[in-house]
Amino acid sequence: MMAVIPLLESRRLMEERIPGAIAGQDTDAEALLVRRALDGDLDSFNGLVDLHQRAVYNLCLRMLGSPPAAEDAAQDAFLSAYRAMRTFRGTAFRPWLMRIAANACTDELRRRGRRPTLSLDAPLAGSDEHIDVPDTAAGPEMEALRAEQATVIEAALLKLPQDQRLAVVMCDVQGYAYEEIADSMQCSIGTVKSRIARGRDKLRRELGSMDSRGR
Amino acid sequence: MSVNKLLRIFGRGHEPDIEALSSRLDGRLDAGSAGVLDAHVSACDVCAPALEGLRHTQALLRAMPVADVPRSFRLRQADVEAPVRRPVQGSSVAMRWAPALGGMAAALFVVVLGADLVTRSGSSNVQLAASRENTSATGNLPADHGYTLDSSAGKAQGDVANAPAPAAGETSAAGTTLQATTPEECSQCARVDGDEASSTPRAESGAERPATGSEPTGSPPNGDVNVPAPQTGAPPGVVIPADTGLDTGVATAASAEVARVDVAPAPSPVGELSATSSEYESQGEGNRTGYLIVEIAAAAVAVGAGATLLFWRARRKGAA
Repeated sequence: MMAVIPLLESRRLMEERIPGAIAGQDTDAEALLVRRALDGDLDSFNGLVDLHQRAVYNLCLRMLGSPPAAEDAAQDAFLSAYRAMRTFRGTAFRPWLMRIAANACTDELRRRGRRPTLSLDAPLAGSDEHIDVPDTAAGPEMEALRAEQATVIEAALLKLPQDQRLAVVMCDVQGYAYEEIADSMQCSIGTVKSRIARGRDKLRRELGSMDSRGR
Repeated sequence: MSVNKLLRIFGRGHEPDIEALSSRLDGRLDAGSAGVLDAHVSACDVCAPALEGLRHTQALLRAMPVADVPRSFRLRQADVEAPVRRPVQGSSVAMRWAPALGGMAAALFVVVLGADLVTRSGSSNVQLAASRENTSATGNLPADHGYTLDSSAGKAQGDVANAPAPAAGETSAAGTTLQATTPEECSQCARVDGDEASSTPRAESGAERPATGSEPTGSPPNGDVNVPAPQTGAPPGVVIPADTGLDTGVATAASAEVARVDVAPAPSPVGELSATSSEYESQGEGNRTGYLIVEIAAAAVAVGAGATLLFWRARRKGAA
């Protein structure tokens, strides 16, 4: 039986790991970097990379299910973002960057034949040493349980259609608001609601069938 | 059993409104809607477990560990200046379908071209036989038109119609020597072709079908003599004037009738022959036109598919 992680605790942890993930707004420092990057300053753009690379990489990882593919997609996303800086119109930078990252994931899926697979050779998220485990007080048993849960959820996520997977990852994994998700996905808030609801429902049924089959 | 419980049982078949439940989880319902939904869920055996399942799924997603980046993604100047390979929008569809479409069009072109060539050769044979028959039907070929008759070789022995067909250059049983030239090479035949073949009683033994070989026929009813076509060389439809002195051994009319080399198995008027030839011609023309249209269309599709492939490959190289 899976342990239920308190919602408040996980959201706090998420905010600590991905600064600004829940707030959804550019800080003043970020706005300054954006203005300089628009003038072609590579160092300023790299400052933006430092701010958002974890969020971009995790988005790619959840979308593709493979750390090497996520690494390629994230690199492509930042390169594309730098080259497309002149098309950025001064609105919130992160939704714009996430849209580019989502497109990079789509391109990567197309290169791999539109079928993301959980990489069995590469270390899974939640089981590798480099993964940040913020709350060590929970003990090794909890860590093992979370790793197992993550593997199960990852497998179920990869079975979702791409648009539902992106909406669910941005909402539930990374904590973005409906408006920011709609901005990134270039669709209406109603569409975002629908995709999140259907994605969650499919995951619910998939996890339920996994439980009944004994995984 | 209480009425409320019965109502709950009767309402058990409804599906939960997943979107409403999901929005309720995210706090996206207004206060009024949220109150109504909460009241329903608390009493509904279908919606309550669904809401709990969604809540549990959301919790699992939020509990997924955040992976640290394997390396820094900061850009170097060399990274920025190097070209980035990216797929060209819309090219995947073109690249997927262009080869198959081009291949099918090319195969169709080859098949139709082959059918067209076969049809042309068939219709050419029809025209050739028709022209030969027209030539034989007119009976106006001069003696010197292209076939050399050596009348001094002697009289015919027996029924010429039953005589074995002499080879070209050989002396036939009737004592004639036929040095064959093809009607196409014969200028006289070409001149005769231009003449209007009139329907005459003597022309009853015209060909009803294309000449397929040397098939000697029986004597026509008008007394014309059928000289079987030689096995090789001499074409059918050669008219040998009856006044050459050739004694065919068959009773002929005293008037200027002609001996005809006829390969037709049954007599038919020249008019019918012309009509049959025309039918073949018109039918052939129609077939050729249809084949030509299909050939042009198939060639256009194949060329278009090839051009599309080359275009997208060039664009992809340029983007890379």
